[in-house]
Amino acid sequence: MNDISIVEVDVLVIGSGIAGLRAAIQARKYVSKVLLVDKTLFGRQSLSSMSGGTIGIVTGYWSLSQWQSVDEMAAWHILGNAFSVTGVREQRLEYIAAKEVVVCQDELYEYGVANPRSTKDYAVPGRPGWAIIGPLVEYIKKSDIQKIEKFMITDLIRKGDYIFGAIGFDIDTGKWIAVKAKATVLATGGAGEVYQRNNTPVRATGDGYAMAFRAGLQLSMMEFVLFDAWICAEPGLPQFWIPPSYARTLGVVRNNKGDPFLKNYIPTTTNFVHKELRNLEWGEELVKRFKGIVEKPATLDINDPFHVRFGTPVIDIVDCISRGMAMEVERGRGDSEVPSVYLDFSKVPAEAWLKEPKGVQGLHLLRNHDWKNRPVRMFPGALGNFGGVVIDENCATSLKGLYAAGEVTYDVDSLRHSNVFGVRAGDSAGMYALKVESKVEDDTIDNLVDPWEAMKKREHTTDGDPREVKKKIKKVMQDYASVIKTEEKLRKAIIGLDKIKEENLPKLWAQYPRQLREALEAWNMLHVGEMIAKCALLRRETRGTFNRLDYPKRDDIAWIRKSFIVLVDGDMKITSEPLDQPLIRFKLQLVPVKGMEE
Amino acid sequence: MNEKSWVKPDAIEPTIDETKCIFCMNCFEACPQEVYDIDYENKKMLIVNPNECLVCLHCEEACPTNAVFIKGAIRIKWKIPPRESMWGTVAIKPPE
Repeated sequence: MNDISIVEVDVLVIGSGIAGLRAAIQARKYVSKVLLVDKTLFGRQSLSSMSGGTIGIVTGYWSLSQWQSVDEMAAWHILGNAFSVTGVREQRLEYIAAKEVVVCQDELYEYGVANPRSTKDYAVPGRPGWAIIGPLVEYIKKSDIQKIEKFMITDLIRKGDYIFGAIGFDIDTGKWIAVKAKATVLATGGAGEVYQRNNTPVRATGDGYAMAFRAGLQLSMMEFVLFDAWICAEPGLPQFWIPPSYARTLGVVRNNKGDPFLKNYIPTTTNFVHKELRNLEWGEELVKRFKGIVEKPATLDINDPFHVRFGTPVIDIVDCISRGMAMEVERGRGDSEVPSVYLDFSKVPAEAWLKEPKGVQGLHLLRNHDWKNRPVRMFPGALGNFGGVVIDENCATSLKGLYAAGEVTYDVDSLRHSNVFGVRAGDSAGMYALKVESKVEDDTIDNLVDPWEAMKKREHTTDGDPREVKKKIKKVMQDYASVIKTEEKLRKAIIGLDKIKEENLPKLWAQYPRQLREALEAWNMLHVGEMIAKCALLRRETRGTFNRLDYPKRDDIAWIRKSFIVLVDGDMKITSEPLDQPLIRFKLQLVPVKGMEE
Repeated sequence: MNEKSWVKPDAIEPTIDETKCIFCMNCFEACPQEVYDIDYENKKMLIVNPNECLVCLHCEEACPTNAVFIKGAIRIKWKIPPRESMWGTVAIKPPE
């Protein structure tokens, strides 16, 4: 028997990114005992705090007045959006996100956010999202919401078809605590850390995906990893997002021959979204009606800023840019030392950096790099996951009593989504907690602790060092399951991960509670990696951020489908099923992807 | 700040004042890049990856005793733009 203390609450919220914080605040409006937990300090390790800090891609980048209706906004997000996961977005969720984004964003004024609409103008360089997360954390610290910082949740407590809370340990003392909750909100964030090249805080290891998988929940779309193009790969500099300041938009991306190659990968004939619109049934009609998106021809002049050069906002074509970079490296036109291409700043005026906080961050980032004379090497890095736990419109999962919001769920890839669905999850969990009673026997809990407790008693070998295991997983994923995938590579990834599973996982050890957290993270990362590789093997097409070199076309005939992962008898089972298209129906056709075939 | 310092800004260097440090490990918890590590035996914090520092200043803020300081960070107070109306363009003025 392990020594486990028990806490009973109405609603338990796991994770303190924007989704978790909003869910906790919202649930408190229904029930008195709400507990917010995080495996580290509140908000500090959340991707939200490091993100661009604009909730409204809708209201910030393009002002709301440019949109004619909610339908139009929703349509734009289904078609394009930041990572262009075109065609496979859950249209019902997108419609809700478009409908509620403005209200949910403006509610933030009430929680002390100075100006949620345009934090990009005043946020601290390096963590623009903190302008939103910081005030929310302050608000929660002052409120009567219960909170435990530095509390690592290891597993959800399941009995039958119900989730009765979760169990975890304190990072400082190592003491196990079981939280029995009437309703639980999972808001643990993404898993960018499974790749070597990433743009995520170190604690973004996908614990929620693995936890949900172990509890028997359905996960979907895990093959779609969001790769941001602008990740610095210069040795000796921090590996981070080169911010979209005035300086970067004037930069030029080149390969090792000095050729500005992006024009070979970005559709430049017309506005990207218009092009997608024309792919739909009644597409021409829609183009005439959607006045919000102005059609501009691409100039392809390297002296113009990026959005003029390609006739479309950079955020619409991030997937084309990262595909382009990775393909150049794949075809041997990248840097010889590090797999990367070059971002040339030589013509950028120095004062362009200081026009906004993000530019200053760029300057910090390039601190001892002579950017005037030497280009910066960069390569796409993982930012988050499009896939995750399957939810319905009210953020309910397939198990009763469990709600999920934020990046841990599928179809969610931005602050905008996380904000809207955080509120929804809080509402649903609060309402559910009002009408049920929680009871669970202690024997279920003890079983959950044993496998992790065993790690403390193991020998301290190099094979079982959590940090070494993490490095191995990252290497396998980077080499074989990164931006450009092929069947051969993916099979190698699965074999590599299996090897780690057999050789290293049983040896994982931990002396201190913080090491136990790392050991658990390594365990979770391995399972998330496996999900990504296995789902990627199933999807035989190229779409948005997902690139298969052996299937270079977007297949709207066979692959407007979502993949599913479920736990069947201790094994990972992958299936797929057609996606509902209630709002926008795609034509049944093969769409060539520019630059994939040479 | 002159033209030269834009090209090559001051070196970024995370520092910990050991006389003030109370070994709460908050800097380790807050850092998104593993700049810090823990020396459990000597009960002190180590700066292991100074090159990885993103100058997000999470560690400075999380430190309860102001022992952490990032040397070389450019600290500009940015002006908060006025609250906007529903339609994103017109600023709402407070009643006179």
